[in-house]
Amino acid sequence: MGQMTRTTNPTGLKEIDRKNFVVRVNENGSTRARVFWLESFDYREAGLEPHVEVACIAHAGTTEAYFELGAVSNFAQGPHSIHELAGDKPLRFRFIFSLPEQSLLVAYADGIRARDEAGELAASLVDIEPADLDGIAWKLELPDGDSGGEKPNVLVERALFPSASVAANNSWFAVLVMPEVMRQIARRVSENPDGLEDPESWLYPWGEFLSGLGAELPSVDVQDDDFARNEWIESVVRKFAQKAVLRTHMDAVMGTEGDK
Amino acid sequence: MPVQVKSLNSKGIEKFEGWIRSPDGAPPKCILRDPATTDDVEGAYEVEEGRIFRSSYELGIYLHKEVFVNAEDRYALLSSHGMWAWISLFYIESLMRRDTYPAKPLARWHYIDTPRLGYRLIARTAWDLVALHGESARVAIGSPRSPWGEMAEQMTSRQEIYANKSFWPVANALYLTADGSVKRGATSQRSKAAKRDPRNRSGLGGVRRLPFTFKQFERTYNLRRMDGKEILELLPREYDRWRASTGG
Repeated sequence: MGQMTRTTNPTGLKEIDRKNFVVRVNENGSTRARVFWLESFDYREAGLEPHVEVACIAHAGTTEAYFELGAVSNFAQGPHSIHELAGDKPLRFRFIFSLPEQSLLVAYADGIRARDEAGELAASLVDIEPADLDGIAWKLELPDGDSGGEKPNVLVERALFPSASVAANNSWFAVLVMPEVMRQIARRVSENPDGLEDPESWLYPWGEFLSGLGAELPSVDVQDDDFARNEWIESVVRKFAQKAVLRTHMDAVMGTEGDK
Repeated sequence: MPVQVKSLNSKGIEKFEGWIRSPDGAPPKCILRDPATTDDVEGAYEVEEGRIFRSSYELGIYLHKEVFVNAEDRYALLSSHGMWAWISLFYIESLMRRDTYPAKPLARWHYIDTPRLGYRLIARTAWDLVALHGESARVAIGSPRSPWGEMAEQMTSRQEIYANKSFWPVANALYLTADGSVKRGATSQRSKAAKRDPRNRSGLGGVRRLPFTFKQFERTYNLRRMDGKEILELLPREYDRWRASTGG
């Protein structure tokens, strides 16, 4: 049986709850003028001393920018230009905290999204990317090999969804596309459940995601038994569809249709 | 002779693509100047005709230091897909396979933007890496053997390290020899059998492992506040073999 390994945290680094951050993005009509600012951060609620310093890494696709924001009790509220970041990839922020003039971190927060970019569907495990699909509304591209760092990518027709956030916020997209995305990823997991335990595989973070859904991890049977495999995949999709955000999108779609 | 940089339109890309699929004759360079297959690009950029680059790194240096000198909007340039196809065809002699005679083109995604594989567009990535990482880009694209080798693939395919300014000087120090070539074994893959055997050292410390190590360290350190030497000292023992020859 493969040994379960996880990225270790020997220094007891603290993960700060996302709810303590309010990040805003303003594009002024163009991603070329895009700025962000940290509107508020509750350092007391986060349990940090006022002199702890905060830095931010804004990243989108292969582009990123780094900002030192100063002490948490008096941080630079910006705005900070992020016009060089890719405008057609999900924008995320990582905040890291350290004592003045030290490199050792005391806390961090990952995967923060701007308040203006609503929607929980385009979570960091999946990218959404507008593309010219010549009449196809969407298609899922899964990483080819075992390489870590790669993610499933939902390509969406640019004419329908000019940016990732437009797709992520669209309720029809959420209820029609995302469960099928989950189904295809679950199928890939069922073909290689060892990937969930291999930190170098792109499947590795999906173990935590599936646990978060309350889905059981695939048993040994799913690799050899088509019936067990399909049952497991369906159970994952059902759990996924029960997520609050998906139900909200479903309600929105049904409300829209009911008004007609 | 300086030539104004243009952009291949869909018709031009189609013709370029056709030649890549069946490279029987000379590259279709006539389409570079044909108004029916090209569009103008914003910015008065010029490239010199007839230049040959021994490596993609040399091409990146040239584009960064002599062509896109005053380019302010990096992302706008990155998004100019037709322009990069035009540049690829313009310098196609430097971007072909070097292990065949006559030289053959590589796959289309090395010259024409392709969703999910955009990092493989050699000219664009070479320019971008040099602009982002300067001399440290050499380790990925400095090989004179091929315009796109395994090192380039490993170092540019992972989003979390592509633009990481701490990662590149460290990879450069670990895997590049004094003469600019990549150390033997740096791109070796750790086999499944090796992963299951704790005594097996095969593939450890290579460039395929380094992003994972960085990911671990980024949980503990602000690597952007540290210089390459400090980070090298932090690396675990599996990197000793490579670190020993850095002088660090």
